[in-house]
Amino acid sequence: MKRKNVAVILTVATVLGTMMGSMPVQAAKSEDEEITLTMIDHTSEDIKIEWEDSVVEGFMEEHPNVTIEVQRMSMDDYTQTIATKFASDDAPDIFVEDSSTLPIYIKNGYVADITDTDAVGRMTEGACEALSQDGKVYALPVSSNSYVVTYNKTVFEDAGITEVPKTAEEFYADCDKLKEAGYTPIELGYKDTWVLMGDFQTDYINNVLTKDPEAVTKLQDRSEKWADSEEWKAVVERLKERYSNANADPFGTDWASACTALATGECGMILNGDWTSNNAAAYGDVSDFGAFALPVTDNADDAKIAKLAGGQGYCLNANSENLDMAKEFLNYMTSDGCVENYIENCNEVCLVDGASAENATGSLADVMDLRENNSVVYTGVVNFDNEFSDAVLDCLSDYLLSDSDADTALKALDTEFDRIAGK
Amino acid sequence: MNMKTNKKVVWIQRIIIWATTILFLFPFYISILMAVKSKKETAKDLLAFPTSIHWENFADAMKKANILESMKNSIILTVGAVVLTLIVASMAGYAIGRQYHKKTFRLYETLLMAAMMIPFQTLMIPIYKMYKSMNLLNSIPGAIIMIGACNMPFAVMLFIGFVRTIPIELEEAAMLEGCSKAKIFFKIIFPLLKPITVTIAVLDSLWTWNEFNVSLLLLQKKAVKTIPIQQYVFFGEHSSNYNMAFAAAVISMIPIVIFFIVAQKHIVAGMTAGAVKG
Amino acid sequence: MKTLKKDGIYYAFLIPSVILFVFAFLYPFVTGVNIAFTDWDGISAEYNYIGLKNFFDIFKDTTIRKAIANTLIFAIGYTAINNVLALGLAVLLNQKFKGQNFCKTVFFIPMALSAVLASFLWTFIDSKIYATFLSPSGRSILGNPSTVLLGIIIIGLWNAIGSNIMIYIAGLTNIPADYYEAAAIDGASGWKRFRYIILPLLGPSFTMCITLTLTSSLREFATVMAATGGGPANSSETVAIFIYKNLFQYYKAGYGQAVAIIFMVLLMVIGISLQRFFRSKEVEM
Repeated sequence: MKRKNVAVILTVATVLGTMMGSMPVQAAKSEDEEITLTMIDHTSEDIKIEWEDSVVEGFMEEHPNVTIEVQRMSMDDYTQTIATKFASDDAPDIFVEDSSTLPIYIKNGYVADITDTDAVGRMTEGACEALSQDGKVYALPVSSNSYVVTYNKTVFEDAGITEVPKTAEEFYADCDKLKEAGYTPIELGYKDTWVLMGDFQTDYINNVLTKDPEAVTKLQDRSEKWADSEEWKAVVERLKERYSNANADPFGTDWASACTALATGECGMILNGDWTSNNAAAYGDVSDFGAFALPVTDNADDAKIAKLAGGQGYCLNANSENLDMAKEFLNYMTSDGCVENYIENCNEVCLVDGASAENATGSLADVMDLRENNSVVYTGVVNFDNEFSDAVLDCLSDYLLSDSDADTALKALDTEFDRIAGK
Repeated sequence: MNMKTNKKVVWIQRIIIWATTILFLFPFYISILMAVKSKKETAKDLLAFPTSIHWENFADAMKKANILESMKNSIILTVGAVVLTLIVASMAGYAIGRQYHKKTFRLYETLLMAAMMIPFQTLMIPIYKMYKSMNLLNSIPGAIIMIGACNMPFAVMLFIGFVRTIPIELEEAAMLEGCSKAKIFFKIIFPLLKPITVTIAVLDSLWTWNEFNVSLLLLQKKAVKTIPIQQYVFFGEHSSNYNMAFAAAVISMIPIVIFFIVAQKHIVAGMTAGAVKG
Repeated sequence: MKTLKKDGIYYAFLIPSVILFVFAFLYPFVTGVNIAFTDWDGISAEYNYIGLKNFFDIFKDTTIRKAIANTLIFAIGYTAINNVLALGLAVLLNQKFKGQNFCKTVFFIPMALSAVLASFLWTFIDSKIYATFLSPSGRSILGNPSTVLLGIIIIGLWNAIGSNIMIYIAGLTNIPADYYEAAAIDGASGWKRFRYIILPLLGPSFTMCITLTLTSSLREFATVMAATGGGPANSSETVAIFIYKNLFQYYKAGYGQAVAIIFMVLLMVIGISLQRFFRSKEVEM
């Protein structure tokens, strides 16, 4: 008897409790309702993580009712995780994408249009071009990178190189001087596949794309073939020429080792994005490095760099419940305090209008100088799409590792591109 | 004649085993060397001894990778998953081992084997959605169930093999005395399975300790992250801090090494039991 | 009646395992397998059914052939070397000698490192020590397409051989002492003892070790991904990496899943055949 009573009471209590829980609570829809924003990204460099954290903390201070939960992971894990989350309807409010992966997210209606935010309004002209579609901006970049030759000043001095090379002839002559002085002219870290692409890009972005902004697109939609292009052939051949001026084990050397070699003065140069000096600085001092544009012709005026739009940026989930607050966060990120903080600590070009790195030293100073005086603005497509990009890397690796000539490599590229585009 | 060749054979065997042992130790020597050097020292000369032991690598690594919290998570996850697997798998292994002549049981063993072949990517999104709908995301108990389940087929198969080596006469004798099957299993069979139980416990502990796929999928929030996921923090997109990574690796190895050394004693005990059994 | 009651307990003992099986494998598989018949990109909310097109594409795909070849070479080589070494070391470690436990521990501890760390450690040794001091061409093992698979085998061995050693030791200690003694009394030499007494009685160990080493090395992903990412020039790309790239980098989830399913079926056939073969050779004592 007793047991039965208890059971009845418990049941009633449970039912009541459930009912109460599901009744609409008369909460005042005040501005102070608790909001939680989720942010996921793959920032991994210490200085950038610190900056991001300080932006998050600063924003939460200004908006006490908002909590931002940040999750970080490695690039590989990120690609997998973000896809899984979107596919399972568990997307975060703020995430990051780059120019090659952004289109597919836009196509599925996952990314919010942020063209009309203050944040976008504060960016320099053309900064958001690579992250836009049909005139609408979908991601907010903070910095942009150029592709340059980063060199070790002490090593160059020691090898008797007094001026950076401005023509192709000077460039190869300098390589010889470095070899004679006992240094590796160019350090290649091709074990990390993106490094090979970065090397390739240092050439083609500055020399092919600046003349024909549609070059990459044309190759991908097959309106142009690799084998028909003299320019691409030249780029491919130069890649192999530099390969013969490099370290003994390019495919067994990873990026960290390459940067170490540059920092400790084992080698003279690395061709890649201007983040190279930042990475190498972990093993040496920032001001030991300089940068110059890769010369490929015999005309000194031709050696320019492409001033690129931001390649990667913060995106907002279009279906987020807290889209307005997320937009506020982006606005805050581009506010003066955060921008100053960025310039001071991150040692990279900042795309917010008016941001200037007056105290830049080392290669950043050279890069800023090049951007001011020796650059061509380029806002088009920079990267090959994922499957195409892999095909480029495979064919180029094959080409470098074997005795084949450039024509064979170009033919292989065309076959692969045809196959991928044909699907 | 016999004695001499015997001694020579033994000598050769000793040399082989010790040479191999030293070869296996070499990477650890490198790990510890790297863990106590500074970044700049490493850059200058890889194999040289450090001028002073840089304990700060360890302290920095612990802070950066949130090691204490993730170690706690890893320990709970490992203990939970291993206990779950052992209980479930030993019972199933016993049942299948004793009923191997029946098609149903052999079929189930085949199903388990097949289950182990399913690539994790195929199951990823359905599992994620399932856990989301059950509100079990970012919960250690939830992950324990999944990892315990993943380790279960392998354990079952090991148990089957070893159950079949235990003579049925033992059970028949106990049944004559009126023991129930369940009692027979827990009081007689399970203790006899000690060598393989300990083996499975050690293997599963190691695999769970380093488990990556399920942990990445189900334990994303900082508070529940386990050690393998945290190790990424040292491998930046464009740069790496090897010294701290090695320091972190050395730290995360400590609990499992201790567990190993302790488990060794039981493996030895199991050996003696097995030798006497016949 | 009595038989039913007696056997009922065996079915009951299976229940917890079946629950976990359905929860972790059957249900997710059944709900996820349909993707292989669609053109899903991996993130969109919708997809279209395209029947068996993905499966036909697999046969037309030239890039997958290299991955298959790499995977086979790696898996067979790894399984053979691993099991021979593991058994040999198990026999040596099973004898009593000073420092026996220390040696055992040394072989087991590498398992405590994750595949990522083990790969990292060995690529480090490979490029800094081997390439600088020992390599005739100055190239590292992993940076050379013709030796890269061997390099990955070495990493995998160091990282995982402890597990097989452990199972073989458990199997060896499970052989009652009088079998050894009886054979010695009959005058059997060490090698004959090994071949005719020990090997057959190691049945359960072989079943596990060989079957599982082969099927898990066929599925190899983490070590290769961490050590080379499939390079250089795809010379170490395994089927698992191929699937991963299609799922998450090329946004061809439907195709990737189709490959995964065919792969899984093949693995099941191989695994089950091997397992049945070795089970039948197990001697019941």
